[in-house]
Amino acid sequence: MDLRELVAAMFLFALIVMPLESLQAQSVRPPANAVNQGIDKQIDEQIGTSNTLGTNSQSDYWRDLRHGKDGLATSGQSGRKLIQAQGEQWRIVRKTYIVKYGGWVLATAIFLIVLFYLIRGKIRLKAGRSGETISRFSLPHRTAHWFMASIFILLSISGLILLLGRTVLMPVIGKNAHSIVASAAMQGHNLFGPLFIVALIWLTFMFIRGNFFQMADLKWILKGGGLLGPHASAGHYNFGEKGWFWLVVIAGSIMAITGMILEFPWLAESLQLLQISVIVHAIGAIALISAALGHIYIGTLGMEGALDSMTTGDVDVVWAKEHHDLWYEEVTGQKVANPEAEGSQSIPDHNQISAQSQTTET
Amino acid sequence: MARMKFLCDAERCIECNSCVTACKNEHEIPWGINRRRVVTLSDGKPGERSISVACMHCSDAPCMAVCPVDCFYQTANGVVLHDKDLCIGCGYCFFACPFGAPQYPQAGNFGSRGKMDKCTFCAGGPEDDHSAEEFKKYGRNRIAEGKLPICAEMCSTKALLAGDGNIVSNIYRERVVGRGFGSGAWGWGRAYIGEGRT
Amino acid sequence: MSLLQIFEGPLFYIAVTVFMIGATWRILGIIAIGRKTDISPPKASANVGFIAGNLRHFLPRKVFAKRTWVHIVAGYSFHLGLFVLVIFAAPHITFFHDRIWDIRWPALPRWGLIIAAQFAFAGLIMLWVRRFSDPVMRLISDWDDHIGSWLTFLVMLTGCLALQESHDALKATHMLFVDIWLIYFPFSRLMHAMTFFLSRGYTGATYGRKGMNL
Repeated sequence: MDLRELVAAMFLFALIVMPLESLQAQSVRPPANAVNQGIDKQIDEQIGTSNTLGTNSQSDYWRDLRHGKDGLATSGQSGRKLIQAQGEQWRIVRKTYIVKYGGWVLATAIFLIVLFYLIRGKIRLKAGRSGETISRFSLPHRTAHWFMASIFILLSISGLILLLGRTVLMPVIGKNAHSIVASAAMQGHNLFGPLFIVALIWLTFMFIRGNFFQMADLKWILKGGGLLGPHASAGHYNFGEKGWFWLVVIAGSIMAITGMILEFPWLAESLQLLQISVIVHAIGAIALISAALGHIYIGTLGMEGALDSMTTGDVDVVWAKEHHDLWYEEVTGQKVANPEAEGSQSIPDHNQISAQSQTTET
Repeated sequence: MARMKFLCDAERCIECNSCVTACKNEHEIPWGINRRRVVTLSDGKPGERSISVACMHCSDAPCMAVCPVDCFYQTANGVVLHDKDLCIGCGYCFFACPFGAPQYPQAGNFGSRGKMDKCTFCAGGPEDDHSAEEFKKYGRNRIAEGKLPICAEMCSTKALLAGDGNIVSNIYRERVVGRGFGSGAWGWGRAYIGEGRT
Repeated sequence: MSLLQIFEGPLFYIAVTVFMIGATWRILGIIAIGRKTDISPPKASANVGFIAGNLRHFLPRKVFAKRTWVHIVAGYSFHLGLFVLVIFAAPHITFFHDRIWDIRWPALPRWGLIIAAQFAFAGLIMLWVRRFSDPVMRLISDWDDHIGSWLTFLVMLTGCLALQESHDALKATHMLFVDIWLIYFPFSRLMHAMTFFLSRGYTGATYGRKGMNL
């Protein structure tokens, strides 16, 4: 029915694939004690007692150090490692992949939404508002939703400044002003981060009911969600909404875990875990923000009558019939008359749309 | 213009930590921060070696590349310095640095690291040379006084060399020739990639 | 004179003066209205009722508790968090010491300050969300309520953004909102912070005099 599931699926995929790679990289690394045994053995073999004067070039030994073998540090915060080789990989991943492509993914998401708006226009109520409403979300549901929304927006803005600020913002406002903004963003991000976990747990419990896969979802998927074509039947939540819910829950949990590791660095036993956390956190953020853009669009500008469900909690009967027919039938016990016929109507005119774009609440 | 480099001769370093102490004293570095550290390899085993390591002032410095506020800059001498007024204490330079050079006043909760501190090659910071402000933030500016870094100056076995890269490598080459063995111009392969090793 | 110096210097003192005079004027005004003389013979002490009424209202009525628990939790979370934040944050204690009086008291560690701020933010956001998503609250809220919430939010937000304590611009922004907040306070419902005990006490005293069991 809307753009959400497309964007959601894209990023869900990216989210699943990228951490898997990181995990693989991690699992290759032997445990800490194995490293020590390894290097000791190596030293005995290559240098050994017969070689205390160092008559060999020992090049293998020094090369291993370059790739991150441990030593024993007597001072400093940086620990026993002489050279941590992953730093270079981390820099490349962050600089050339995350910052660059992350920014482009976000730009693409915005572009797709604009494109969708131009093609499909605002999805109107074909039968017009009836004035008669039925209850969709209770007050606790709405409170949980908006609590999450507030925290999410604060975290998104501050997070994006930290991720893309140097590339996008700094050339415009200059180094000093950017440093001020970035300092504010980081402090705000660290303060609001833990509240996201509270919001996530609350939201999960409030919305998990009705968000499991049903047979109707299969038909919905086969019809492409009615994204551009005729309406696809849906219950209380359609597959796009379910996808968004599970993206928030799963990606949100990953964000929460990696965020906590970064916020309390002593939780991580190795620097590598912090490096992986930064990368995974950034990927998750891009996925969630891109999907959220679609969610915000379809909830406000993109669909007439949708915002009501989160402001007053009551939706127009016509909206329920046209977008969640199975749910309407379940709640009222009445059959929706031929939902297929409604989809055959022509696409509305754009000028008309922009003139009265914002859905207002009663 | 000279390209400033550090070199620690692993055949000479005796792990006395004088470089660490001298650095802390010269710059009045607060408790908990060490701009330089000594790492011992194969501790207590035959072939034990120690190496003194701080910021190596890389040519293509990872810290400069990842800093989200772009607070690093490289002087004409190749010394990598940073502006503490811009630093937001995010810790990314520490994630990227191969040598573990960046240090933070707090390793606290809620990401409160404070402003990053690291070896300046005794070259101060962006403030006016010898100003009180510069000393408070970055320590003494010995380079502006015409002196070399205190750690190398104080090294009891002259294991740690600091200064113009050409002179440093000449001294080291003479040593290698004299000794008849040795490689271990430790860290140069990483830090000074792409520069002619004359 | 830099903006920061103005905002935490002259403007701050002006704001505090407006705040003090305005608040005093408001409270005196309320007291001056007086109350109707009650000629009925008192059945119990009105003074005890005044205190009891104040204390009783810290807890929800049993019949309402189930319906109102969200904003009770949010309300306590916000107010207690804010008090701890204002009184025990190290930069605030230093500021009070430098600008107002010559006393100091132990400060919270940084993590304690942040946890207090998180409670305050969680509470405030929840109360604000309720204000626009609860139909009854929407109906009875006017612009004063919204401005009060937003000003308080902005004071807290700019404060938390300045937590690095490194940039004067961020501190100046925080101080500017503090000044605006102080000036706005006496002329708005933010005054509830100072008048709530009068209204609770008034109800309590009336009931107390009638011998009603609170």
